[in-house]
Amino acid sequence: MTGSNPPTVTAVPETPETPETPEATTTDPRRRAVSRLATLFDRPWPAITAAFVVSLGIGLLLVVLTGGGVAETVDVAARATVGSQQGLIDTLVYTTPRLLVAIGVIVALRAGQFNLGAEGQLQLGAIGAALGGAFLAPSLPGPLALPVAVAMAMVCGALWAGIAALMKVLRGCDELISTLLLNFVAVYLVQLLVQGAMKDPDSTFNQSRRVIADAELPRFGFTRLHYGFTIALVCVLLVWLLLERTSLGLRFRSIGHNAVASRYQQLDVGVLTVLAMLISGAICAVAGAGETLGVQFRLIQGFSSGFGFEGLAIAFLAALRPGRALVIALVFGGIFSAATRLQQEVGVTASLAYVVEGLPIVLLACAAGLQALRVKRRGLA
Amino acid sequence: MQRDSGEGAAVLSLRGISRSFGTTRAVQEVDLDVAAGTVHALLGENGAGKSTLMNVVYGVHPADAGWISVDGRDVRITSPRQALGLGIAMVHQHHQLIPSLTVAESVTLAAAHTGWRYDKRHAAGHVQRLADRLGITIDAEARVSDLSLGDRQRLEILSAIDRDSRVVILDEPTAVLAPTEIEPLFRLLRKLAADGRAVVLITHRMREVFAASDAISVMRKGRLVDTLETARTTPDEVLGLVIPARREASAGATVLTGVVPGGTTTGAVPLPEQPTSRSSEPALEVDGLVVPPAPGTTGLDRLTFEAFPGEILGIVGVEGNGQHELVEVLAGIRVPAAGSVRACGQPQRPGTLAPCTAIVPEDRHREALVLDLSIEDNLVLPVLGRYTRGGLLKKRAVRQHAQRTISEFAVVAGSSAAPTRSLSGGNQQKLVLARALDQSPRVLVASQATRGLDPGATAELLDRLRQVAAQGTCVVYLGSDLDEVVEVSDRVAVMYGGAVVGQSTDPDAERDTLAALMVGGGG
Amino acid sequence: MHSLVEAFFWASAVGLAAPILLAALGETFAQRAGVFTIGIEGLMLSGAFAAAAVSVSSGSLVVGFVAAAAITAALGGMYGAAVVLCRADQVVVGIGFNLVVLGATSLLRRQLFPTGMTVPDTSLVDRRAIPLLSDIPWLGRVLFDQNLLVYALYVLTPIAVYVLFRTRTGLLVRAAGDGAEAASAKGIRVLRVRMWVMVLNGTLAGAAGAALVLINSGGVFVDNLVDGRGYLVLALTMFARWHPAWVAVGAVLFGAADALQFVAQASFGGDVPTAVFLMAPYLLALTAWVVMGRRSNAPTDLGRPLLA
Repeated sequence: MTGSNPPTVTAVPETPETPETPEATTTDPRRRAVSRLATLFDRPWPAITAAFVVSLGIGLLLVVLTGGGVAETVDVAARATVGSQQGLIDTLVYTTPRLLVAIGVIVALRAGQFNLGAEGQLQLGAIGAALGGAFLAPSLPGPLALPVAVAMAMVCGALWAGIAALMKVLRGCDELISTLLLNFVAVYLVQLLVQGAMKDPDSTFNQSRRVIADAELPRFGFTRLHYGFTIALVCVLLVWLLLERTSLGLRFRSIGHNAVASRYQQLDVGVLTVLAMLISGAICAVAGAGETLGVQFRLIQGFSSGFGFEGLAIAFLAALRPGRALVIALVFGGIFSAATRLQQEVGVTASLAYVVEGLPIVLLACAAGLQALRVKRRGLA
Repeated sequence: MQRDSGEGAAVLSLRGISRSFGTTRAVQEVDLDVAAGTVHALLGENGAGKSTLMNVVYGVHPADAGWISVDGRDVRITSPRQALGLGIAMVHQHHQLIPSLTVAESVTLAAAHTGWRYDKRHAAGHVQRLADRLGITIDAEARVSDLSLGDRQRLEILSAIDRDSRVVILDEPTAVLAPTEIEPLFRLLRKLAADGRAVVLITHRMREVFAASDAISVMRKGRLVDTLETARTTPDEVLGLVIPARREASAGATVLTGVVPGGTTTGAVPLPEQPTSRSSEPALEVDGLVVPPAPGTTGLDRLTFEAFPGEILGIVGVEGNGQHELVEVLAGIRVPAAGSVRACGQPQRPGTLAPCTAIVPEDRHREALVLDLSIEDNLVLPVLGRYTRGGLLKKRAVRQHAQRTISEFAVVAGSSAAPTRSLSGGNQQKLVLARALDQSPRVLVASQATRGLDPGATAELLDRLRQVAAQGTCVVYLGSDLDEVVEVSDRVAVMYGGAVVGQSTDPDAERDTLAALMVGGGG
Repeated sequence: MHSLVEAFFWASAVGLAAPILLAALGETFAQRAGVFTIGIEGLMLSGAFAAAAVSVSSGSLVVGFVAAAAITAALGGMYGAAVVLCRADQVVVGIGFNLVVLGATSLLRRQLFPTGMTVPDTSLVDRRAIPLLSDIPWLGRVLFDQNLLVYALYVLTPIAVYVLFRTRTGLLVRAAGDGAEAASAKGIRVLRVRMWVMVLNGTLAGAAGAALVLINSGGVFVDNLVDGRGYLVLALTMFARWHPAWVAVGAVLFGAADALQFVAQASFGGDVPTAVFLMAPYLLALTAWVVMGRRSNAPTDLGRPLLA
């Protein structure tokens, strides 16, 4: 230093200064902090409701534009959901696979894994269930048939998700893309099997043999509703327990929010990543098993009308919380039930449901983004 | 070199500038005039509002109230783009550079008017000429990611000059520099002022103010306290403005000692007797660690040192000289290419935490805490086994543990279930330290632990480290601020180029030697 | 395996690569600027639908093509408004957008074209041999006896490389994705750069979708026609390391995987199920990914909205 310095070393507190604005530092090194979605979508119910109202309004507009009447549409939609027993049951039937997928992806997302492969995992679940229910079950004692079929489904789904997890842990491949690609491989794998190895020799259609009666999911009374719905409810509870009450769940949430800090605390991020994906895949696979053992009773092509992505949408809207996912899944089930009934009675294509389901997440994502911007700009915690 | 600070007209004038963040009033009704041809120092503690004020001027955080005028014309600045258009440039503490671009590309990017085509050779020549004019050496073809922090800073200044900015604001420019790089920077700043530009130097270091500035504005708690002419004031007068309580403290000691109520002063801390600590077995032995260099860091180059129970070993060095890698190796996050670590007599298995060691990593937000998890959850992360029965978390025990820690370490928190994000930096650091000590470590490694803390929290933390050492724990304290490290440590080792290049058992007396070692100078 | 070296096979590969490459060029710019467009699947699907719908209605393929590009440019802008201006999460918006587009295009097809959508004439993508060049043995048939889109890409790909690395525009795009906050603090209008890139991405994706209708689907629009090709584009962009030249190479490999089905008979005998060939491009993408491994030079701000 120069002579203008006083003889003694004098300093104002010697700490390298951090930005003086609160929240100014980036807190997560990952490009996409997946579990950020939990906070991002943690919107108040009025906001979520508003998004659905807007989206339902647009749906109604589409129906009217394509020649439906407003009163008629509302009436049909009501009967297809809460307005009749049949509607209620249909709604629950449609809810089941979507809820299971949502619960499954929530496990992965909370652990920071962007599992977009639910569609593929549920296809594998269907394959596993058909293998268990139609090929393995006949040689098993009756009471074991159903558990074995479901277990095989879960194993298949878990392994499928495990591929993406291993690719990520060992080779650094982004699970976002690998799970997406695996979806298509899975869909064509089902096609391959029902046309070849698993084709029912007695049928002209490309489908597997029927699962045996013991492997079928029991139903509620004489309705279409099968016990898959109960399984889904149990899964909601179990996943909630896992995430909120177990140390494994805490480890998952920890790596989901901040993998680096978790490593400093001696968590094995690689193993936890794989584990979260396996659990996620297994639950998504139950959705496929439910369709195979409770609705279709055989492996067929195209049994899933994109449940995978609807389940993701539910998980987002539910802010990755199992309890909320149940509510949102029921809404989605109702939307799909209504759309299906509209197709039958009014002649509007059921794919209307996708429009009505997709819009709210786009709207809420925009709202959440603007909110985050406001927080950042104003330094509001 | 002394100029009359009243010579130039005010190129930048602020009147009644205020800016809040949430409920925090970061800047309140500040009036300030910065004259052309001068270096104007903006002095104050952490959190005094200096950076915020200049970020208002630069359009990063537009003002809530007040007027800004440039060259006597009233202007509204709501984005850096507008500020740059008005001839105001700012060199941030965390450099705003894009690592993947080259030096020439960076300058071109920031330039106001260039053609559509980007001609590599032309741009490089342009940068070279500019650098020559300012007497800076910089490789125009080098990637930003390969530059040292000092070079990055020079690149930023180069960009500002390339745009012909008339007001150049530098936020804590010396924080990232080695002691020997500081003087050339100040020469450069003088040169810019001599060209008729106004230079605003944000700093919290008193000696820099007197070494470089023509005028001094002191900020405290968001307000501008006073503006003085450097030639007509004394360090004591200025310091009195920065921290009123400091006035009585004895000259020579650092300010820290004066501001902590009841805090012990440096001299009064009962230091463990050095000979006894020396005679015992080392608690931590680091032997020949090698980590290959990477962009922005030197890696480790056969790093070897020992630390003893009951002492605080300070390891000082300019950032990027391997400190981060050392902590990573000790934490088991990185496996060294060669070398070994022994802690409390046992060898470390590579890829696992060193035995009986606890780590306070350097980056609280990124490495130490999971900000979105609650205080309870963060505290039990390393000892989950202790709080689990049959896979289930023992919620009540976890909560009790958290509440005990909160009261023991006087953490200010709404509830133990609150996310750690909601805590202040000082309280976050208390948690991190509490968690580390909870495992009764025989070796405590703390890296840049006071970064971003206010003076009170800093003093508290350093005191806590002294207590820990006094109880017989071996404390390794890594820092980049020589004065702070010297103050807290019994023994100081200098890290340069990934190796210990020298150490001192009497760091106070050998401060200048240590400073030279930090930049690879002989000693 | 003899037929895998035949000019016919590689000519088909190049032809099938064209739509993927076209979309991937746009996506490369988008990702370089920091926008990860999961919704490219939906953008391509809307382009395909718009092209078919307008062509069927107007009777002109050219009008259809132009309309598709214009409509998806607007959609790209809207998508950009969400992820760039509103700072919405890019993956979430992508998932939602794809759902909406899938629903809307299926709905509109059934309601507006109940009898099906078949483009009146696909001569626009007929092969046109370039005189002399196409006479070069093997290479001539592979490269110079192609449709107009392929020729357009011979020009567009080098332009993309030039713009990205040799112009100020490219510098701005790269800066927007590799250090958005820093660029913004340097006075770069990052949001504007990203918005324009999204419009470009939409335009190219739409044109690619239109090309899919003509080239892969023989002029017939069916529901979910794109069927995951958008995700292939994403994968391709990423493991081509955001360089248009590598994107082109990768696209041809995908084309080859796609073209396998045409030579299946000759190469593997008749007993390989079609599902295997349908799977091939996706398996190729996954394998390529495992082989390439961790990407080192990903744009720093890829997928991250600018919060400043």
